[in-house]
Amino acid sequence: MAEAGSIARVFTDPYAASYGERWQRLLVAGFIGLTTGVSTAMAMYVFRLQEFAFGWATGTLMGLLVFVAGVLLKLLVGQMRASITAAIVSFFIGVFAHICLELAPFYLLGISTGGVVLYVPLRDVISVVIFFQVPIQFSGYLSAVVYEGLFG
Amino acid sequence: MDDRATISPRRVVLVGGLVAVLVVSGTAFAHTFGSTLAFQQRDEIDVQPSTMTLNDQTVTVEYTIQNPLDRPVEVYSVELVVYEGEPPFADRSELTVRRQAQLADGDTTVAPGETARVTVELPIASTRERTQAAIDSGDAVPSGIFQFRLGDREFGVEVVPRG
Repeated sequence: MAEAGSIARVFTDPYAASYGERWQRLLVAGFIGLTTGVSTAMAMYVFRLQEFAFGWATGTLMGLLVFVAGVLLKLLVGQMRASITAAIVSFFIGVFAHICLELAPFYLLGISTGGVVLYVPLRDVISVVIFFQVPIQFSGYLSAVVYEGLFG
Repeated sequence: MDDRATISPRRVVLVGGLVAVLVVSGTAFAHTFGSTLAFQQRDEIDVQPSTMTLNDQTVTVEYTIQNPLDRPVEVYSVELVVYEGEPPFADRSELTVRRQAQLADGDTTVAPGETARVTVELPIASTRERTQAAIDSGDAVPSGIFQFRLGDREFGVEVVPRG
């Protein structure tokens, strides 16, 4: 088992580490925020491009994954301020990663990005982020807060 | 408040849940992203005419389709006209009736990296002699658009001879 003051604790037992030293709390918030943010961005990318997805990767499943990611933000990061930090990190990284994932083919394939070419993809991404990604993630987080408040 | 020093099964499940979310979304994303990349490179699908034969009242044109992408593409319909002469085609140079045709063998899926042959049957529009003469002399030129499907998205590939 990881010791109380070690780095490994941050990754194996984030809940306890979030009550530890200040650097441990920040590291937990950053780590959980990063992983949930990237998962959210990937899931919402599949949510948006359903026509290219597997049969089982439906929009509902992807939305569920984002909700669960939001719930994990609170259940994995016990201390309240650290969990808020993790949530903010997750939201911003989720938006940024989603934009990067959408624009990646342009740079990978050498498609020109001049002029107004990027406006349509960015419009699609921002619509999904505003209407689906952030609300679903936030409701997951709030549900976990309510759950912890009710059931301790 | 549970004791923060001990690792409870609940916490292990939560960390496992985080890993599961990451793995599931990552897998779904990898496949979808690969399909998106393939779709962006759809211009590389190579459609070439190979043979043209004249039947009783129809012309059968055979095409070879080469799919260099990572994903299978399905060709399901084609709008093809056989013209006489060089492009730009003059009026009254159509040898076959312009229509949206199904493929003779039905929808054909071309696997990644594979080549497939499809045949299209078109009813002739003018006289049989004129069509036969054009095919024999090499003046008969097919031109049109093949309708493809990658994943669930449909797109067209033009087969227009260089004028």
